[in-house]
Amino acid sequence: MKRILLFGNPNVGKSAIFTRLTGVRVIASNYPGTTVEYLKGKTRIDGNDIEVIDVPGTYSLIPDSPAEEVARKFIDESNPKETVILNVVDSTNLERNLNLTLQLLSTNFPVIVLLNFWDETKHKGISIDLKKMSKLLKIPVIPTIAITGYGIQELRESFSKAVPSNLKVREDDTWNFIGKIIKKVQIIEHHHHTFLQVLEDISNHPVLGVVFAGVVLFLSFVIIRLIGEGLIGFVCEPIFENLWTPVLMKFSPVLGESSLLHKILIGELIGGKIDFYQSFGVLSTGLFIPIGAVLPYIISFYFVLSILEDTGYLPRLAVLMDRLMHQIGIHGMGIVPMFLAFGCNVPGVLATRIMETRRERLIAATVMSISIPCMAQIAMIFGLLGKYGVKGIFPVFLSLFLVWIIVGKVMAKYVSGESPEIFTEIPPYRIPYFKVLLKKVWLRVSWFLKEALPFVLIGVLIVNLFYFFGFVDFLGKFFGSFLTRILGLPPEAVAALFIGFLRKDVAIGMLAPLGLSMGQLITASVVLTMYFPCVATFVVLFKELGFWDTLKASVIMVSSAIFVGWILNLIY
Amino acid sequence: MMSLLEARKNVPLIVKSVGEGKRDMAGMRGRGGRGGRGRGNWCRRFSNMGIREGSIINKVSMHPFFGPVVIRVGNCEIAVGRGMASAIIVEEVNE
Repeated sequence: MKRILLFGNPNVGKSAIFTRLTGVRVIASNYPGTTVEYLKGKTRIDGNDIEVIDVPGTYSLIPDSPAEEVARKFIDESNPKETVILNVVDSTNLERNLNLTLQLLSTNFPVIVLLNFWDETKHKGISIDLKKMSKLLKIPVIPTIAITGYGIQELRESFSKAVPSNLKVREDDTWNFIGKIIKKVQIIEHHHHTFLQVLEDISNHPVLGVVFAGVVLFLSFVIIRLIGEGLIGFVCEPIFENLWTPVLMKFSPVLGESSLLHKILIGELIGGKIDFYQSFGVLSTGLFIPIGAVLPYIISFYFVLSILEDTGYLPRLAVLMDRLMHQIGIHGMGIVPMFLAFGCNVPGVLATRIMETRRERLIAATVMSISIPCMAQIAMIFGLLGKYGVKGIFPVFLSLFLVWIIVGKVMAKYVSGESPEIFTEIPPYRIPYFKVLLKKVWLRVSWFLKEALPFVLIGVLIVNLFYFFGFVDFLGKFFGSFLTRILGLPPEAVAALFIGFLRKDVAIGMLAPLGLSMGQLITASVVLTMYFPCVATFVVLFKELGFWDTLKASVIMVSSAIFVGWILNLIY
Repeated sequence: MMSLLEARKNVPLIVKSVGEGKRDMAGMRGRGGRGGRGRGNWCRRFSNMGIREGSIINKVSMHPFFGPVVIRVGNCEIAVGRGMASAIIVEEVNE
């Protein structure tokens, strides 16, 4: 055996099993379609290194979405003699899951069935006869609870027993056969509604559900803001002011205030002191932006997002939002990539793969990269406009929301292709395991530190070189009159548009020393969000959409950014 | 016999047919979109989720303004667009 393929319906816990087997941390959530691309890892079984592949969830081997095509590809490309398929099954939904199981059995691969969510069967009054099931399917059947690791040891020991099943079921007889199996192995007792099921009923209700959604979203926003501001005010700023400033101030005279090195490393001294928003040295503002201003919001956002994901609230929100989302030509599940985009547009664009058609993906990806600022950028907008309160921040998000809906509506009218209706499974509510949740938050935060921190430092360095070599003045002269006339921004702001391609948080930060009015800051924040995606997002857009659709998306971005900036300039 | 849209909430329903009748293809089309996906395709997806002739389902809720219909199949809740829901023909189960 050289390879293990993890197969199963969406949202049965394949990624959690993958993490258990390989120790590789991957994002697992409680909604169908968390994994849109396969993931590879390694595990050791009986002293051999074995490749483990987490295949995106699929209902059948006949693909209906790009994620399912990825799954199909692995069946076609793997060698049955060197591969074992682990079929992860939701044991509370045996009947539906067995369809894929029978399809997998009809291939020549050895299959092991994992009955995941084994603990939930007890709460739901379901009992399953494992021995009988194993005998009927002629393959090993192992009960597991992926999130706690229950059953994984038994799984590790049973790989040697995996052989291809000689069970053959005619395709038109599949459901009949499944019905017979279910009758023989499963007994369901009546049970009372649990608290979580009462909540499920409330959030499904057309009226109460909307109220519930309002409460959830409002609380999410308040918690993100509270944790974010709390961390900045009580942890990050004091650390920077009291510990880091003295170090830099000792260092400052050594370099000499007017030297180039001082300008690059420490930046300008504002009134003889370091101002972490305005000094703009690599070691002052360069470190403060990612760690002092952005990181707290990254932590608070992913904490709240992970709770929404793991409880299973997102698909319910998708159902409520279905009508709104159809206004922009995509169905309700499009809300999931939009939510992810608030953390970072890159996973947001990738998650558009849960949409079935090209038209939906083009609309979702374009609308998202135009109008959804990532958390790094939002944190900086809060940092600059926060002092004006709601008056400063609200117009930014209102403009972006209007752009979201208008660009979406226009694209829904003119982009050709299909927009199918929503058709999705809604998982039950689950209470997240706190430890698992914190690990997931840490995983995402560490990605931010690894991916973003170097770029921010490089960004700030480039900004300084731009200023030093007079490139900013040159840009200002070249594009400045255009910028001043249309957007009402000073010529120096052009440089921010250039840096914005690298990192948007740095670009917003560059506005700090310019002494802009509130109106100018609002305009600049909106334009910087809209005009073009950052390089990381641009690369995935290109990969996901291809050349022509990326070109279309880019034209829409640049033109709508100029238009909206012009309108905002007229207002303020 | 009636479509899922007309069915009462929270009573067991038996599926009589999926994707047949006068609204067959039109019903399967996404609202706001152009063109439709093949009927066989939707029927297969329904079937994969356990919605096919003879299965027992339950209508949980129907969202206003042409929003989706939420149904329960076995232990699982599924959201279905209204066009598709209109193509699921059901009858109340007599107990």
